Amino acid sequence: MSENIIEKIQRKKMKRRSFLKWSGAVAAPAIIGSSTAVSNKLKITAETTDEATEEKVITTCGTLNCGGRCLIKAHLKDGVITHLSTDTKEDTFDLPQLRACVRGRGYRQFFYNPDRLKRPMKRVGKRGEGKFEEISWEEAIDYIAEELTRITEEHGPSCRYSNYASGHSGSIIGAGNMAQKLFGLTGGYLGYHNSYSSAQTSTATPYTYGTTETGSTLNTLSDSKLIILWGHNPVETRFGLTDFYVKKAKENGVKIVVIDPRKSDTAVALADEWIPIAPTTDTAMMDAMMYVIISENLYDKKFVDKHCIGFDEEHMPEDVPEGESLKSYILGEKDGVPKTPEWAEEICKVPAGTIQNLAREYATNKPSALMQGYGPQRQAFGEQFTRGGTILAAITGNVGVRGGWASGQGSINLVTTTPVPKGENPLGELTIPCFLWTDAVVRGTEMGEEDGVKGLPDGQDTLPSNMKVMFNLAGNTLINQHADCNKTAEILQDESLLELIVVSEVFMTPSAKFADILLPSNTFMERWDIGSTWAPSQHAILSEKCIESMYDSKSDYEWLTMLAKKLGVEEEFTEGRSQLDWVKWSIEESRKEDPNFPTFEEFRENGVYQPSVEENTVIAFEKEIKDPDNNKFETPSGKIEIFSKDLWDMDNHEEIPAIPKHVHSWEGPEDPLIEEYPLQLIGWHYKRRCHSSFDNNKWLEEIGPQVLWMNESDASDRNINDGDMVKIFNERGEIQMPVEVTNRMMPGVAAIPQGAWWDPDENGVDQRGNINTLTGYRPSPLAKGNPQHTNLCEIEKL
Amino acid sequence: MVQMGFYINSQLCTGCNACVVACKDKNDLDVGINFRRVYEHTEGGYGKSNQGITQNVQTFFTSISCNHCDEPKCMENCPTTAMYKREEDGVVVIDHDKCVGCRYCEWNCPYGAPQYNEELGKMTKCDTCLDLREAGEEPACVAACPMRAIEFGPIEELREKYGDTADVRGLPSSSITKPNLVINAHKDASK
Amino acid sequence: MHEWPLLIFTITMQAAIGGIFMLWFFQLRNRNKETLNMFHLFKIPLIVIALLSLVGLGASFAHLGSPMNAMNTLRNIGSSWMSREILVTGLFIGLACVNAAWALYRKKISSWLLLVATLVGFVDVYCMAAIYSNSLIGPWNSIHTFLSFYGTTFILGAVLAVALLIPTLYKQKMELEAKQFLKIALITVLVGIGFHAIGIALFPATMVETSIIESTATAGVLSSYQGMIASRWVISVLGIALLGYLVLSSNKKYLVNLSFIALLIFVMSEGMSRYVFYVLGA
Repeated sequence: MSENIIEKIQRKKMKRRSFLKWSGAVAAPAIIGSSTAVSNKLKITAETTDEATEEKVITTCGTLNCGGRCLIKAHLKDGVITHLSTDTKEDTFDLPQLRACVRGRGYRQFFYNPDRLKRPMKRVGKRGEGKFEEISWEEAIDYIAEELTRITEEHGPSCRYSNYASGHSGSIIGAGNMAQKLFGLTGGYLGYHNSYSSAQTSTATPYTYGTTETGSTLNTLSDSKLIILWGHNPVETRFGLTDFYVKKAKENGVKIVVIDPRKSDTAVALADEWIPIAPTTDTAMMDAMMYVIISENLYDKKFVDKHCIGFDEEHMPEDVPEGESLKSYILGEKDGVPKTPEWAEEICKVPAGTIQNLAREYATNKPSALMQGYGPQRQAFGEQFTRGGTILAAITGNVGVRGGWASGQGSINLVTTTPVPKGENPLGELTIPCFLWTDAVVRGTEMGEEDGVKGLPDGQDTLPSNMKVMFNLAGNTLINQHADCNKTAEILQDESLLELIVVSEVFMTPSAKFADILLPSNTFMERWDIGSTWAPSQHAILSEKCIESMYDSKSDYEWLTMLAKKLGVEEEFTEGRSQLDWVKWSIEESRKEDPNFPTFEEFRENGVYQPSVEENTVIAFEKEIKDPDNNKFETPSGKIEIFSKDLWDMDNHEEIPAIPKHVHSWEGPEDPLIEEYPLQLIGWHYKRRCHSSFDNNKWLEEIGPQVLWMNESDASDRNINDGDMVKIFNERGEIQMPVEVTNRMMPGVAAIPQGAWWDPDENGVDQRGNINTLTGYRPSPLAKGNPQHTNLCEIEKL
Repeated sequence: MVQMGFYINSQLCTGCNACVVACKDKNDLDVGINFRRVYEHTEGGYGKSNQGITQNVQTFFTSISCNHCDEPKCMENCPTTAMYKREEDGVVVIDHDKCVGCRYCEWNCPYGAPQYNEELGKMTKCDTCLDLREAGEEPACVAACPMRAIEFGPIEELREKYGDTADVRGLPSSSITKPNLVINAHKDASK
Repeated sequence: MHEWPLLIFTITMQAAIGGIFMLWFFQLRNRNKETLNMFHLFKIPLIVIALLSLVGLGASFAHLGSPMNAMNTLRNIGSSWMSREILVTGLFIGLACVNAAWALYRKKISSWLLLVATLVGFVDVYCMAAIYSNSLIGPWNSIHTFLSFYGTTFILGAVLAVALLIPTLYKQKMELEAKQFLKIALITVLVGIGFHAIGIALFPATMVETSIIESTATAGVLSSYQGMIASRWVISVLGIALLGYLVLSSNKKYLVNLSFIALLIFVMSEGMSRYVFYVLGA
């Protein structure tokens, strides 16, 4: 029998069963950490008792870019963290426990990982080869200072860039922000706007509401009659309070519908109904829902007339030709194509009857909450998805009411933490969309407003310089989390383009391998910070330092201070404050805005600031709806803009329509390329990783191995069996990885959990399963955001 | 004796494995050893409705550790009597002074609870976090579950509160060992 | 596959048990032939069988995570088939050694001792099979396990005895006895093969699909090992053909070598059969 078969069975068992028999093959020494080997305390029998050593418990939290921001209690013995526990306070609807998710439970394999970078290093091989020699911190700082000065003299300060990075960058003291502060103090830099998470929704949402703050506090979900989680998978992405309150809503009898190409864990555990939908076609379904709601007169006419513009021809902004209102478009009055459920069915694969039912339920069961995830907005025309959701909420009158939901980005800040200010950029607000940094490397001097560049000084149409200096601190966006890894690698390898790449990291990530200077970062356990949650933000946790920095690692703030000193701006950079001083400063600043924010001592005592949700309930746009005369929306019209004149004036009506429209997506099911690459490929945020963090955590790999998900019929068409090794490829690259054949994936679509560490072999074939091997550079039209779920591919058995 | 047991609300189990990893962290377990495990069960497929795709995919998760059974087959078949049931609370534990590491209990537990530890050369398993319980705390998995879907307590009380289902699709029949387990079956899981 | 110690243990023990049985049977049939010096004939075979059973003992220890605690395994005779098996295995190994020692000291063999060892051995094979068939591993939980274990006992016992006796018989010019014994061995092997075949025929009907949570379906595993299963049968047929040739052939030249080759062939086929057995349960 071939080895392959054994491996196959082994993997199947690894996944499905209890790892019983194969432990020998995978077991590694149980020693965690290296210099500080943790005692192997296998307390199994009843007889074993604790040693007498005093245990110390410190409340802290991780400050990686994890949305749940769970509470961690570190149990220390003799300065070693022996295990972690989580919130144990009374668990109420108002103040739920902030229980840690699976990632938080696996933290010990993160900070006590023997693979951590231990000393500063300088590249000796070619870029990306991963060959380095160890140097001292002083040598590293000297080298960076010299190169920075030399390159700046040659190309000007606008060639300097601190990359979007959110790995372990920290919260109030973001590593990238601090690098920008240092750049600002020494001449300036090229900044960025947008994020890789939510560029499209944070750009598009304000076109409807004038703001991204469209979220309500989550306790209001229990007052809904129907919750639609559209591409929203909180139980794998957010954990924390979103899960808690959606669960409470479910227990309260609220019907929950999940729309997702994948039967996500959220769909399994929380949904009454799961509706699979072809990626990039969500807006077609939304248009069809609007058709049902409008043609059956289920919309909230009073609401629409009073609070919105652009619904029908009677409520349009001036200077817009006839036939451009939402109603005209939906009913097909101008283009002759009514956006019926049957029309949508062909595009999005959701049966017309299902669309019809959902539309009726949503419009007639008020209040209902249509909550949008960020996944579907990370597609070619993700702006339309965002706008479509907000308009559905508006025409059904679900905005501004308890139990409704305004849709769109959904931000809300019940608790605000004050970040350390990064100071002025002498170059003004000169920024690029963060997704276009590779463009700025290759053709920066050609990039202008049409590429989304903002803040160009008067008289200047393009960037003054190509990007030459790259600081990629505490993140993996230098290659792994960007798009088209092969192309990015080519750009990075060309030393005539980027002349200096500085990376700080905890591990030898794919990004770290491209560093000229690679600096070992400490982790959140080794420094002070304050953690706050993703939207909706309902609490903050003091991220207390629990152990000393391991090996020769430093926090980014520490070594940037060394660099500032070298560059002669230490005093201006630190303002005389250590990292702990900044935490105390931030607390005092926050207390100026919110007197209930705890003092440092109180914070240290309780670990957490969690105000009562019931007492501080927020309902987005409540006052705008209750009292519109005195509370205008922050849009140009002061109303909810179903039709956006600003978008209309951009004069790209096909790709940037003024009302939400389904736009045929490149590399979507309507692209002729589908003949050649017949499967749509999307990524998903995997419960075992936070973006690309923890990919090397063996406990988390065990509970969530890196596998491609593929539908049974697609697999059998290709003679592929569960557990086979397959190749997934398109014009941009190839991945080889194991497949999980599962009907939790809809036909025609395959999915790779995003964030795995790109691992190319000598032919550039990724051996780990990083979806960005196959994603492309083309940005979304309005936000210039990353359309990571817009891919066609083919899959073959290896 | 007050027999203790677990309640699993499979309705709410998201399969996140926080219980599994919390247990590993608390007990310092290496890869391959899992005192608690989460199983996925998926059935069903797709149909067509004109151009649209219909589905009847059924998926649910079940989190299982040791069920501290009334008739533990692991104990019955253990050649050394190392596997025994505590008199005070019916928790099944392993006396490492006796265990010979023959792994026969592995073949006799329908739930995959006994886990072989290569380094020790002994079997290991869930002991309901006796040390935490002595300190008045919950077992690690119970305190960990983000959905609050695991409870631990006297089995009679749990059965009174939640019924006595221990048979759901995918699980071995409860008649084999009489597990002290109560499951609130997922809507896709009822047998 | 990580159950190598158990594979070696069961195979060697069953070969030893079958071997003792064949020796006993041989001396039973030939007890009145005064030309035969049983002691000379059995000296080496008895030592080899005793050693073989000790190898099995060693292998069983290799399976244990904490062999120092081995004595504890006798604590649960009341309910554990493993305890029972270990007790009976110990008895058999003791008896195998006593048989060898008796022969060496007394310069003769004891028919009674051989018979007792044989009977204890057969009980031992039952206990071994009961360990597996009493577990919750579906594919083991079948009458197939008993038939397979006894089948291996007969087959390996017969070819082991052939390899150990035939050379000496020929050396002592007792060709008639050799031929006769080869015939008996062939029949015993065929009986063993028959046990296997019946076991396999009954397997689908008597197997309880596994009771352990989410274990792999037997059919799936079996399909991965079709190649090995097929080869095992091809090899067995070759072995039978070879034994048949030995029975019929009058060419003495290669007989000694060929009888060892027959042993080798069946060790391979039974080893493969046992390998698949363990894979099914793993």
